[in-house]
Amino acid sequence: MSKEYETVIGLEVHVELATKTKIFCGCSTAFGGAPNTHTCPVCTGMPGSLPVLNKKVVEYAMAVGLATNCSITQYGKFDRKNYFYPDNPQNYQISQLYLPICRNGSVEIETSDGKKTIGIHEIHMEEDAGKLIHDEWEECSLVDYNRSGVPLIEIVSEPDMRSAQEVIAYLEKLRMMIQYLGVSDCKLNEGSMRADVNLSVREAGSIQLGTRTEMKNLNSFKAIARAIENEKNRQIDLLEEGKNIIQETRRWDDIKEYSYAMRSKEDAQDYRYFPEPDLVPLVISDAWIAKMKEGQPEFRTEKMERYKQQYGLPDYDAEIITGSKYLADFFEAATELCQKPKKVSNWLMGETMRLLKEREMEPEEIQFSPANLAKLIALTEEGSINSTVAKEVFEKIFDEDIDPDSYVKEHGLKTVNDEGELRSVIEQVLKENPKSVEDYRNGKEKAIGFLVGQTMKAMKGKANPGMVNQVLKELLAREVFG
Amino acid sequence: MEDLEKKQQTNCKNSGNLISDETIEYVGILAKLDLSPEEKEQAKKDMGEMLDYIDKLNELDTAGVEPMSHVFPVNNVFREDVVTNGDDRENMLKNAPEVKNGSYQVPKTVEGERKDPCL
Repeated sequence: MSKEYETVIGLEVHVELATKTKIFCGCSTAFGGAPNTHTCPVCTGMPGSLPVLNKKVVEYAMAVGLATNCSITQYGKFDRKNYFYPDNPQNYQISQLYLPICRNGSVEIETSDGKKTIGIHEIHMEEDAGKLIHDEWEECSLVDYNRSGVPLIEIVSEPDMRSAQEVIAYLEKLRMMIQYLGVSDCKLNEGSMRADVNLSVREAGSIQLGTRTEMKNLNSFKAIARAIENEKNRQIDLLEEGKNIIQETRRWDDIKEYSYAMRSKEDAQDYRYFPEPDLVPLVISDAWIAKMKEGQPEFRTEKMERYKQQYGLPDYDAEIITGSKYLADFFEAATELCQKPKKVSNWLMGETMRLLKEREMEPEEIQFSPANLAKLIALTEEGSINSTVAKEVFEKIFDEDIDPDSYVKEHGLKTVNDEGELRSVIEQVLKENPKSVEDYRNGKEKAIGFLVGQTMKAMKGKANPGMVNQVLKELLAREVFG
Repeated sequence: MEDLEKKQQTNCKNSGNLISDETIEYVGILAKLDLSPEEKEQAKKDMGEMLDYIDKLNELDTAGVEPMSHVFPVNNVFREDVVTNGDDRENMLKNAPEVKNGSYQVPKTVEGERKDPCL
């Protein structure tokens, strides 16, 4: 590469709002219903049906706007975006083009290069489309309109990001804020948060923007990072070869790690927006905005402070746990049950984080209940199981949400606190390992570690380690002098 | 408001009384209409007349008049976020051209040609 290039990235983030009903009708938004069981004449676009706006959608959009320092549009409306596709039964999507509900906001991100402010161009409300399933046996597609009309907000950033690292930091910040607001669960893999990446490159130092492409189908942070790297290199290669970049929408294939253009040039992309005549204007008073501001929840900084004060958590713990609303909620629920905040924190920051990483999961994908972690902590606290067994049981809880009480009982994992039994086992171990015993006697204190291990093995890990140490030392001493 | 005017102006880039073959072809594609040569001629004439009418409206001096977004003097009509509709699939699917597995059956639609609403 002869020249230096700069990557310029802006994001369009769609977030599915966690309302009970759709944006314009009283159909349920519950996930996983049988096809078309959550539909009505409004969300299937029947002639003569009329949409009525869900007030909660407006409030959720305002909440996100206020959290991202946007100004709220006090006189707003909806517009129709016209296009033909079977997932869209009305042949138009109700969206906001001219007067989006929020504008001119910003989000502060932090990367290894320091702090940076990313501008928010606008946030608008719109409806989701249905789901198309391609029939495996026949030349046809099947449409399920359960998602049709589910409320979305689209958060459009300014082209302020310069690297995949900044993009991920921005998305993580948005996701955390939105989860704290309780407005959406923001699961990338389930599509309740979707990010489209607009990317262009330009020679370093240039002020003019290059021709951009839009990348779709990015279902994880990793996919986003890979797609950005790939698209950046594709564009630079084109420029180096003296070719032009075509402004187009591309689809990312994360398995093959490449993207392809989604639409041909002949394909008309003229949405002929016009004001939605079926919906009346939306007027947001100062009083309503003030009420929404008051209702903003406890955000991360406040929560962090409270965890330190109320639960006595160290800075580091408070910071990690409040980094995800899910972890924070989980922490509070488990602490409420077992009254051991530091123990809960240790399990979350240690084993939970380790397993999440190992299984490539996000905190919101945690499947186990706070109750079972609380029970596990109670078992370790009362000395019923030792830490080795606890880790083993925890992995079962993590994967299958088993009840630790019955699991420990069924598998006979209870720590043996019977000193008589332990003594006879240790006596046997000492007899079988005269070399280690001698080493220990000759001042090689480390040899005791091996003997502890042998004892634990003989006890199938169920011994109380403190007691093992104590009895071992006692017997070793007696053999020397006795 | 400036933004709005600009967008509206670009929407009306074909204003004028003569509709070209290219324009009618383009509008036909957008509206998913397959027009015969006779129908195209008729549509060109109709559209020209519609634009003439709009030109007439444009003669009115609207300087200083706020554009309105709706003809009714009503705003903020809301629903509360309460589920009111149950499962009415059987009835809903009566509107489907074809039904399969509780879904609307449509001609095969390939992913690559997808026109995503969320642009």
